[in-house]
Amino acid sequence: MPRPNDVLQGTLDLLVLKTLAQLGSMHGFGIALHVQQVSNDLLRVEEGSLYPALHRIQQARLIASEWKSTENNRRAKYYRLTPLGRQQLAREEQDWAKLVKGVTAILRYA
Amino acid sequence: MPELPAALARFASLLDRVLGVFRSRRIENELREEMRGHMAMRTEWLIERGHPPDDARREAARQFGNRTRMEEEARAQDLWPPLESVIQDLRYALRLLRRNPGFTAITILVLGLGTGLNAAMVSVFEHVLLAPLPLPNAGQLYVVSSHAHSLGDVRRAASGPDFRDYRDQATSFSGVAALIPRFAMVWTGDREPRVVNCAATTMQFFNVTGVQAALGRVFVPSEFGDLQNETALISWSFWKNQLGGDPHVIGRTLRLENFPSTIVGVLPPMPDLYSDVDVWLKLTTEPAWPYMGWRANKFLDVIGRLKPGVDPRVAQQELTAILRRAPDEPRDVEAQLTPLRDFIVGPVRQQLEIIMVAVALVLLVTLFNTAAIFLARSIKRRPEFAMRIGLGASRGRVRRQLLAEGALVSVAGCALGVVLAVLGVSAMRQFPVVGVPRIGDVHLSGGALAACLGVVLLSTFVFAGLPGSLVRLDLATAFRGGRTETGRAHRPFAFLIVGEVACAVVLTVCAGLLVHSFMHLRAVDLGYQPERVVTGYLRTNYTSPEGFPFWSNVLHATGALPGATSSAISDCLPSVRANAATIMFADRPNARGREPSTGACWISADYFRTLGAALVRGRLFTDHDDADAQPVAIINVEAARRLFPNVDPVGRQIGVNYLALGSRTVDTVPRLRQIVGIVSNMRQVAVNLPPGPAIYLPYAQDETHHVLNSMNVYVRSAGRDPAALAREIRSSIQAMYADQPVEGIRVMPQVIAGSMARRTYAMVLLLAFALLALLLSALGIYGVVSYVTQQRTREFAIRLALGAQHRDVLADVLKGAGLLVGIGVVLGAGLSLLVSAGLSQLLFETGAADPVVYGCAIALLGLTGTAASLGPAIRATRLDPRTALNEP
Repeated sequence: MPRPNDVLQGTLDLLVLKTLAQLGSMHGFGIALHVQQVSNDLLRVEEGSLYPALHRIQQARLIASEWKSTENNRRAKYYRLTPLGRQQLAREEQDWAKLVKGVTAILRYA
Repeated sequence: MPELPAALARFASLLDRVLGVFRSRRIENELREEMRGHMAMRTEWLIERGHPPDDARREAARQFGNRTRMEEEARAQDLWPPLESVIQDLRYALRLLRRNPGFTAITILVLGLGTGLNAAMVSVFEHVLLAPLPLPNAGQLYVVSSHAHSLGDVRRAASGPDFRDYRDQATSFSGVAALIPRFAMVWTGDREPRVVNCAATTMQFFNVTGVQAALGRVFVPSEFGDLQNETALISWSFWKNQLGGDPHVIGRTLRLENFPSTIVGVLPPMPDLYSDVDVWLKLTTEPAWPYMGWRANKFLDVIGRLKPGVDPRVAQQELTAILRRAPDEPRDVEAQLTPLRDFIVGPVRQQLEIIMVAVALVLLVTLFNTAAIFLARSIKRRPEFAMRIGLGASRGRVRRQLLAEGALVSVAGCALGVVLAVLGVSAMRQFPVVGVPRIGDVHLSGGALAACLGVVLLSTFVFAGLPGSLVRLDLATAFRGGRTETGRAHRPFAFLIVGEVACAVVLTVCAGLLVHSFMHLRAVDLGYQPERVVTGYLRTNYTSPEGFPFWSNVLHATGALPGATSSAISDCLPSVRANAATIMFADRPNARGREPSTGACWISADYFRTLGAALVRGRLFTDHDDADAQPVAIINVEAARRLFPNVDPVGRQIGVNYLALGSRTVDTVPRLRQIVGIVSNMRQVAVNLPPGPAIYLPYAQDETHHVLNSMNVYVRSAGRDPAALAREIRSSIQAMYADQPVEGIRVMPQVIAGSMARRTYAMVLLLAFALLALLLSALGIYGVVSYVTQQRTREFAIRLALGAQHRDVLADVLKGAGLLVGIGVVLGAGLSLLVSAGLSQLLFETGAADPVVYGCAIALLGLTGTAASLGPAIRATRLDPRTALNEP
């Protein structure tokens, strides 16, 4: 029985990239919140696991970060997509679509 | 191209993570702040949605998950974990090493000594044997000599006519120069007169070699027309040390043997080329000049510069052809080209190679030894490794830990080694090893540093690699403390001990061969009794009959000294050098150019009496064998045997062509001399050379009077302490001739020891290395046997409890050690056979496979091995089974 927390790591990367593509610049909590809300609480990340992913994606130069103030005057690290990240997102979206198509096809004939 | 930025990004990321190690604290703090911020924001968000604050905080923490793990995982993204753990490993290793200061210090010291010795030796080796001479295109410079099978293949220098032929006919060379490399003159300077070393060169020398003056100028061709108008060049060291670095030295007058010479230039320091020459004079080889007309009078060094692109073998053939065209040369004569560098370093090449090999072996022994200690230590630590693996460390991680410890010790040892090498090399620069050319400006070389690096890598691998193999053991065995395991884990030890013993055997054999040779040399019958003879060197200005009273006064004064029984002079020095002569016979046809050659000396009447050689037949010279008397000669037994195989030589007539710088004959048939006596064979040329045929001539019968110019004086002491005579000899001569320098006053045994200095030096060094290797192997064997015995405590205890005899246990331990030592000895003996062939030049009446030396070396190693393992073996027999078995 799958639990909502078990998000495949690759999927998490895709979600993060997509979120940042939509929100522009956002901190970790914002990203987690967005993923949760947009997916109607269906996909719930164990929030902490976002950070290893964020740092890994940043090391891959797909996103960049800077410290900024939130609207509540709290210091937070804001992430945004790099051009490299934008390319990667496009690639991963395509891959995802292919995967979904393939899986759907299998499910239909199974 | 999307790939390129991606690749760049990967690289940048790696760099980032590596560099991240240096700002790890900041990264950690930021990460913590980021996560705290997240939780705070979630808490606020929950409160806004109606959760009570405490509840909200708990819920935020729950939703966040395991914060520590997340932190670690995120951190691993920013820092390269292997590097990070390496630093951790190093820190841990440092702590461990600091906890065992004795072990650490000894290991580093031993390793440092080994590396330092090696680096210094590699530097010397590279500098002396391999580095090109600091002359422009030095590779084109060759020294020309010749040899002929029919003349016994001895190396012959060149004569005046040889040089003129090379100069005029050879097309392979852009220039050839001749020089008289070494002769002495008396300098009557501003101080006490002293003997200076001179060289004389033809006009081409500076052009050919490319040596330029540091001050003033070198000789110019126009100067060579008139040699009377003397000009001279001086060496850098002569200028600095004897003339006080006088800035106005150019134009100063140097009085050599009463001839004034004007100094026209100072040569730069030349540690590579004729470094012992003080004064450079001019030489012409025209046939009109004395000693230059006669082809057999080969005393010149000829240096040629090959034209670019000419093969030295082709040039050699050309010179051979030129020599064979010359009259008076044997038909099978062959010219020989030796690269100038090899000519200079030739005599020490083999010694340096031997010492290099010896030093490398010492290094190997130290490595094996240290590795054995490392191994024993890490076996003791096996429970610790097992614990770490049990707690989740990977085997690789534990291996890395060992690697860190090995690397730390290796790097420290090699750093010490580099320091020692720098010190050693600068010491060698300051106190040059006697007889090693080019050593004066040796410096630590790149090769030496590469050698150090090699040692670091090798030792790290050895120290860490061997113990690393133990990590493979399963946990159960390891936790039991490894008490029950059998021989398998001891295999690395066996390898180390065998290797160490083998190296020690090679060193011991080599040192033994040299010691054996040295003992033979010491025991050699010189043919005379040098023990109570004092000798000194006199250089005079006489080359005319005026010199006769001088020498007879010297003989008289020294012979009359209280405590002296007799005195004599000669131009040769027993066991160090003699000139040569060719012999022509009155009683048979002579083959021109192929006359037999012998050693030759001009002597005074009491030469044999003073040196203690025996008359075999006929008579010795007397004071009546002077210029007016019939020319006479004395030959030794060997000359009698070879030159007069079937007849009594006494009374026979021979002609003697004296071959030397001051040759007595200029292309004429020599006077006939009557042989009046036969003396016993003296080792005249060198201690290690069997006496060859020799001829002795009375100095008063040198019709050229050249011999009067320089002679060695000998005084035989009546008392046991000849050294007491030394001062009196000088004062008795200077009482008559205040300006007369008397140099090199020594007792003959000292002279003889000096002639063997290089051999002695090599022997002492090898002996020291061999002792060091023996000591280290003893330590290694002791350590390993102790360890292995301790590991088998339980087994021995059980056996003793079950009734085994003490001597069974003793034999068991000794047998184990003996097997290893035995294999090492056999291996080492085999290796020695390969290596010791390279010692041949230094051996004397000792075969490279001398059974006595091998026997002694094997016995010595066997004894060392037994002695080293006896302690642990006896300890094993004293076990009390009850206590031993109750130990955990």
